[in-house]
Amino acid sequence: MNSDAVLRPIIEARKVGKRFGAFHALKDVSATFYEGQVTAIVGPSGSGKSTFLRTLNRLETHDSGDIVVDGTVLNDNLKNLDTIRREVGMVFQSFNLFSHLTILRNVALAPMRVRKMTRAAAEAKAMNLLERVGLKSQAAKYPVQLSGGQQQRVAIARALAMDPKVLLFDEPTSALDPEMVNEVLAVMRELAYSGITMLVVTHEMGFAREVADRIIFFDEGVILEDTTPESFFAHPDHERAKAFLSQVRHGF
Amino acid sequence: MFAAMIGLLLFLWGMAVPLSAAPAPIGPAAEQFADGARITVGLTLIAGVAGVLIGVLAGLGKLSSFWPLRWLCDSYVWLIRGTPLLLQILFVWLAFPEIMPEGIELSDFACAAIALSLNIGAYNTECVRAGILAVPHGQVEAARALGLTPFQTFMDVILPQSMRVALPALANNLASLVKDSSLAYAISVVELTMVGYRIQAESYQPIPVFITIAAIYLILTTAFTTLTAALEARLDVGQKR
Ligand SMILES: Nc1ncnc2c1ncn2[C@@H]1O[C@H](COP(=O)(O)OP(=O)(O)O)[C@@H](O)[C@H]1O
Ligand SMILES: [Mg+2]
Repeated sequence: MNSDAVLRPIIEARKVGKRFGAFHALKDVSATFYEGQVTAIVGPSGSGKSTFLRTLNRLETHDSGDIVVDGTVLNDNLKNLDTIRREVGMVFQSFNLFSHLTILRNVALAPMRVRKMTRAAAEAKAMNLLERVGLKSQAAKYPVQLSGGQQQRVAIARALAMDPKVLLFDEPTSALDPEMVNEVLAVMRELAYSGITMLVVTHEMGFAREVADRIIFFDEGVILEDTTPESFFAHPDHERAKAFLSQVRHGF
Repeated sequence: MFAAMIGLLLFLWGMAVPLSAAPAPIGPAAEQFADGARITVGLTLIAGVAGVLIGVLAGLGKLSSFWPLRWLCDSYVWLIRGTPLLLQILFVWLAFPEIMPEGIELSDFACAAIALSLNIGAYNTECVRAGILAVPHGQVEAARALGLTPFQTFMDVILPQSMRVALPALANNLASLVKDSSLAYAISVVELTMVGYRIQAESYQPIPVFITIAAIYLILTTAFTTLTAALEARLDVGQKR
C-alpha cells in the first residue's frame, strides 16, 4: 500500500451486530477498508471472522449497524445486493467449484449470466485467467479431477472473472494438504501486489506478516486489535492476542 | 440416447409391416397394434415430460419457506400417492367436464394424459426434492456470491446437480408409467392393452394376442430405460466415483 496516495474507503462497516439465536457472534464491529489495501483477519476459531466476512456480501444478514460497499448500502434492497455482489468476489475454504461444470465453464459462468458476455468472450477471458493461475492446461477437466490446490486456484480465477473491486478470502488454505498451501499463497501474493483490495481470513501468519498492510485481530465477536503487521507481531496490546500468537507459533 | 429414441420411433411406425406377415389373429390386426402402441407411447411421453415439470415445481414448492405453498404441495403428493391411479383417471374423466368452463371439451386421451401427469408428477416430486436437498449448500453460496440471481442459481447450479441425483428414480417412475398408461383403457382410450383386449375378444385366441402385447411393452420399456440410462451417463460427469 502506498501511504502517500489518498485513501478511498471501499467497505465501511459501522457497529455491525449479528446474533445466531441467543449467541452474539458480532458485537458492534466497526472497520473501514481502503482501496488497494490487503487486510489479514486473524483470531481464534469461533471468534466471528467468517461471520464478519460473510456479512460483507450478505451471505449472512447483519442484525444491526450499517455496511456500505463502494457507496452502496447493503440492505434488503435486491438491486443494491446485486450491485455489491458484482463488485465483491469471494473465495471459500472448501473451494465450492461447481462440480457439474468443467473448469472453463466454472470461470465463464458468472460473466455470461451476470455481465451478459457472449460465451466466446467469457471463455476467452476465462482462459486468460486460468493462464494467470497456471491452470490453462486443465480447462477441460472437472473439479474432482484436480488437486485441492488447483481447485482453489480455479476458485480464485472464477472470482476474478467478475472483475471485483474487493476479494474476500475465508481461510483459503485451511482445507489444503500442506504441500499445496504455497501454490495458492503464491497466486494470492501476486494478486496482492496487483493492487486489488483483499480481506483475508487466515491462519498463515507468515503470509499475513509478509503480504498484509493491516492486521485485524478478532476475539469473541469484537475487533480487539486493528494495526500494522509489524506492531501486531512485535508487541500485541492485548493478552488474548499474545496468547493467540504464542499458540499459532507453536505450530511453526 | 438418440439411437434409442430413433429406434423407438422406427419401431412404432414400422411395426405394422413385419406384424402383418404374422399369422392370424396377429397379422390382420397389425395396424391396430401399431395404433395402440402409438397411443401408449404418446401418453407416456406427454405425461413423462409434464410429470417432470410438475415434479420440479412441486419439489421446489415443498422446500419453499412460504408455508401455504409447502402445504399445498404436501397435500398434492399425499392425495395422489394415497389413492388408486384408476380412481384418479376416472375422476379427471368424469369430474373435469363439470368444473371446466363452458365450451372447453377434453378428449378421453387428454383426460388420461392429465391424470397420468398428475400421478407421476407426485411421485417425481419426492425424487426431485431429495435431489435438491442433496446439493451442497456451498454450491449455492458460490453462485450467489458471484452475483447470480436466485433463478439463475437454480437453473445453472441446483437443477442440473439435483437431476444427477434424482434421475435414476425418475427413470424408474417413467418405466412404470409405460405400464400404468394401460389403465387409460377404463375411459375408453384405445391404447395397447385395450387393443389386445379387443382383438382377443374377436378372435377367441388370447394367448398369441397377449404374448404380442407383452412383447411390445417389453420393447417400449427397454427403449425408455435405454434412453434414461444414456441421459444419466451424460449427466454423470464430474462425479466422485
Ligand atoms: N449459521 C450459524 N448458526 C448458528 N451459529 C453460527 C452460525 N454460523 C456461525 N455460528 C457461530 O458463530 C460463532 C462465530 O463463527 P465464525 O464466524 O464461523 O467463527 P470463525 O470464522 O472466527 O471461526 C461460532 O461460535 C459459530 O458456532
Ligand atoms: Mg471461519
